[in-house]
Amino acid sequence: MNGKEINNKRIFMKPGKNNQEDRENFIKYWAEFINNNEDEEWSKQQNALINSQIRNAGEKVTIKDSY
Amino acid sequence: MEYNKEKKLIKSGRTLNDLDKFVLKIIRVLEKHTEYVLISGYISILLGRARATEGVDFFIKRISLEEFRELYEELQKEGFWCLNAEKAESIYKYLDDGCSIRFSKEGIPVPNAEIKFPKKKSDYDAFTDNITVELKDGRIKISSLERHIAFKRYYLKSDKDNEDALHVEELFREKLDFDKVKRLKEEIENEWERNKQ
Repeated sequence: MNGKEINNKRIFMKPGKNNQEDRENFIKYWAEFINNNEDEEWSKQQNALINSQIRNAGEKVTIKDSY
Repeated sequence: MEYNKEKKLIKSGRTLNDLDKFVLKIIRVLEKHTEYVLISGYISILLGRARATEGVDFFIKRISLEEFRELYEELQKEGFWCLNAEKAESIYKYLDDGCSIRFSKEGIPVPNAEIKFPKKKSDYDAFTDNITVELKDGRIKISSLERHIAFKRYYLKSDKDNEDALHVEELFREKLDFDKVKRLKEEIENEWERNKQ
């Protein structure tokens, strides 16, 4: 499963009427994705976001220190 | 992810990220010296929420200055430093005064662990109903999901905090005790009112 389909049926996210509702709808969509996919699959996607933040933060310190 | 409510255990087969590895490393030191419970935003992230954070919050059970010296010494040996002060006495004084202290890997302030002693009844209660998240490479004690939701929704209340609560509600809706969330909401609100006076 590529994560966009559940039991061979593609799931869709309902767009929100405003920014906050849209954010909440995405959280619901993502929770459904987690509940319907292997832990390794969703965590791989989440980790790309988290690791990039942490590695960027570490790089900033290194760059600053090198001046 | 599987949540066994009776065993108070969540089994997660997630691939660990750099934040998880940081948390497991600091926990391995903390738990040799005192009891801990992890609270707030990292709980939602550990359970899959798609956001990052700079700090991971912990309560640790109160320890003496001498015990803290031993903990601090081991943290330093493992490559952590304190962002707030250097001497053990100064750091301990912050803790004793009810402040949080932050530890990160030396020279790298993000991510960091924000550590504090419990002060209020609800802080102490976080130790009594905690649950365990079992990962491939370790175990993490977190506050109960109901306490996490109540704290986020009715104490912190920002958009980010409400979204953190929503994520956990959506994931475990059928296993959550929403009566407990309601009871905790009342406790939190009463406690907040008392502290205001």
